[in-house]
Amino acid sequence: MLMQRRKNENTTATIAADAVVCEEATLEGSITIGPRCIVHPKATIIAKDGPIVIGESNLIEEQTKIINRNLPGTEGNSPLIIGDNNLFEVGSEFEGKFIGSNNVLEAKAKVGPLTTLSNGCTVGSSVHLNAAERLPDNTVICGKDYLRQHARDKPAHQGQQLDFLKKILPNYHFLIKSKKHA
Amino acid sequence: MQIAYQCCFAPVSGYLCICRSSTSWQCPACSHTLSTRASNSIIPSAEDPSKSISKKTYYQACNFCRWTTRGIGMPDKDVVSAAWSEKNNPEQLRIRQLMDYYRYLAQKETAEQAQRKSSKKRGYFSTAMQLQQRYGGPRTPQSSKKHPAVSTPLSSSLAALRLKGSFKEVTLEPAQTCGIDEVEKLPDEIYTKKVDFTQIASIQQRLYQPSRQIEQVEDFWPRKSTMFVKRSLRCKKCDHNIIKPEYNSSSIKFKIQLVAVHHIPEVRIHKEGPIIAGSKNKISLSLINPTEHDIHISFLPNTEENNTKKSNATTELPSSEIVVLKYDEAAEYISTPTSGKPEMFDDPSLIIYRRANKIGFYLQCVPNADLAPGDDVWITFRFRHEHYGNASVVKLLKGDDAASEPAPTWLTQTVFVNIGKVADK
Repeated sequence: MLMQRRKNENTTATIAADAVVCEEATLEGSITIGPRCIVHPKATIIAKDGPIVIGESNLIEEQTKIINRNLPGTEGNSPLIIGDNNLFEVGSEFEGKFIGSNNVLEAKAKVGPLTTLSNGCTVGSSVHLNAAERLPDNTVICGKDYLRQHARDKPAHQGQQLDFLKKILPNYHFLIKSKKHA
Repeated sequence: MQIAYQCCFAPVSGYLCICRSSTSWQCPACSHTLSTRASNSIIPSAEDPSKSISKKTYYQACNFCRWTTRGIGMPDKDVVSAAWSEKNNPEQLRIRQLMDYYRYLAQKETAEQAQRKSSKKRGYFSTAMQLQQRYGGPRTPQSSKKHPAVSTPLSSSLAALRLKGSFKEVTLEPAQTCGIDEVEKLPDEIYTKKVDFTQIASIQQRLYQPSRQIEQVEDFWPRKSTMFVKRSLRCKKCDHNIIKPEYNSSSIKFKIQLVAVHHIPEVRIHKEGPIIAGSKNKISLSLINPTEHDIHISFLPNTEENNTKKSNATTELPSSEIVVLKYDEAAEYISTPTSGKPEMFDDPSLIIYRRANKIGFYLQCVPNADLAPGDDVWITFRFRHEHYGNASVVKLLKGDDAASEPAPTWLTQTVFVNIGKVADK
């Protein structure tokens, strides 16, 4: 049976040449995806209140929601900037304005618009954060009591997984072609 | 890591047993099992310092909270297992002393008991005991408290007699105590200093390693995994084993047909709607038949309200019987909703839908008028259904033909449903 292909419309996404973005992902608004990024099918990236700029080697898994949303009570267009080597696991949500590098949002983790992540932070599964703070480098929050720790090292790099996905995903999914630069 | 558990059991005496294996460890921060990770590190070669060779080293890391042995400055190990050790208990010496002392006391007691037994045979010893009890001695507590140092010739000779089957006497120093005045005062900045929660162990973490009671996160040390032992559970009436304690999860035998969900129709809330106190509300519930027989359900009001939950609404139950079709494993794959059975004629004012072994139906309920918005509304009712037990299985085993349909027993279930909160007006 042929799967019905839904074309992404109304998008002004700029996708780097060696990024893999599956066509079943939802991209809305002005989005820039950096080199070696992987965006799985059914991931959602919505540039609602301003553009979204995603850096290098980020892995965005299924059912992730990344939304550029303004703080309650503020208006205007400000960009959401995501650094490099971040991992958004299945079902995670991020609605803030800034993420540094090497962060991990575990499955079903949720970060609201008030919180920003610096570098090497791990937000554990089903941890919901929305306090007005900037997590210090290498913070780990996990467990049902939101146990906070300070890790000595940043989380391991996802290089192998990225390479694997880059090979395997095009076999089973249509990809959004990167725009040719004039 | 599961496999590691199998080989490392010490004989079980309590619920909690220390795992004697050196392969399984627990995270001191979140008590998950630690996993060993390998990493390549490049070190200068021993023979030729100018060259460097890569060497595999191992460290332990928690997959859940990302705690690592590297984080506390523990050096990596060269071998996968072993080489990991627990930190010594600082009170080890004292514990050993106490153990020795208790062993000594136990020995002493048994020796005394043996002597008491034999004294019945020997007349002179029992007379001596009587004299001792009458005229005081270390045995009578009052006199011994008053004059602890007094030793009569009688008691000393008795003591000599008692210690005839001699064993080594163990003495124990009393525990060190200190007065309240000697306790160091809290520093002044304790109330003003900003607390960094990431550096301080939580109460759970401290009590998790009771021997060391670490206060600072940097003093964490992996802990030997504790063994979790299941307790067996027996039915209070028939003494059958309901849950058997098993060492390994794969050796648990599932007892088919013994769980209530396989016999009792399941009641679920089908759809939620706004509930208004004091007026008639239509509640939709659904019933699922898990058995291999069509069952007839008739509703009864719950007259005897026990103390489990009080209903705060009057319920109007369906007066007619509801038939719920049997559970058919193949029904999922067949498109017709009634799986080949003749179409049932259902009253649409009562039945919402009918799908294989599920049925949705309406109830009318009037929540008490004095309920405020936001209060939980509870309804209660009973229903009666037939139950065939494991007759079908028995039939299958005996090889009887289908002619003899087993006779059902009728069961009555009491149901309490929290149908939701009273809506705002």
